[in-house]
Amino acid sequence: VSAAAVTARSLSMATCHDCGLLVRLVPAAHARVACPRCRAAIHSRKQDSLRRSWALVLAAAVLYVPANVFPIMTTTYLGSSESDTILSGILYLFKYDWPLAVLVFVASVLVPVVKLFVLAYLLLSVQSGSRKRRVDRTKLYRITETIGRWSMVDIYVVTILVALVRLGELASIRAEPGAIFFGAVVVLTIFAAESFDPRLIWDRAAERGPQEPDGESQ
Amino acid sequence: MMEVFLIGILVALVKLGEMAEIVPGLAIYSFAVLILVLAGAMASLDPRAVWRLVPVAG
Repeated sequence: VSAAAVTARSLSMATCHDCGLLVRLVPAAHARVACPRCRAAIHSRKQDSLRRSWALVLAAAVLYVPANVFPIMTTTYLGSSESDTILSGILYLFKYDWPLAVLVFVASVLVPVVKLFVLAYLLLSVQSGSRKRRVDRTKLYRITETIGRWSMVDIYVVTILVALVRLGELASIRAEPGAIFFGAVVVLTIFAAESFDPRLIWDRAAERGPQEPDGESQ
Repeated sequence: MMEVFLIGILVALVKLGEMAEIVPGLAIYSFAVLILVLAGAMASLDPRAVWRLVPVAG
């Protein structure tokens, strides 16, 4: 037995994004195809994948600046208060527990930047119809998709601290605008990775094949 | 996402170390185990097995 590569699209079939049912697409122009099992709309590729990912990536890149410039929280302790940005919070953590500090540095600083660059690279390579290292690029996509949520660590830290430390003048912690910008960056990059369709890495250049009613437009 | 939350708790506790003494209670260990068990449960559930129970129209 040997396996021959065949795509669902080349057979006019598609899997439902929601329930995974494999359905045959009957050519009926412009009709909205609904999954016979779960009623979700059927698309052979994620809709407007490139446009949506680009928009989310660019928005995240813009918000990345205020996320790191503005403080994420202000600590008032025995009358003196101090504002922390993401980076200064990590530097502070280094004094007490460096493995944890390294983890937070990777999650809050490295991951968002790496994610933005990787997504931009994937989008550009798909748009240029590159056929190079497609397996590696697919793996790269899987990795970016998985690591994204780790950036939420700093948001959780701020949330927990703000909730825990409410001792008025003695000690209190307030959330600052930076936290909102940072949270927006994390959420936007998660959505950006979500709207990218890794199958495009394999579609382009390989087959400029059968047109589809509701998928990608360039 | 819960494992991320657990790390968040740890970081928050370390940051609070300067202001207050914190003794981790039984619940934090239970929470850590819960995350492991839940990850195992998620990995072994096959959503297709559930979807198979839903009738396909047409």
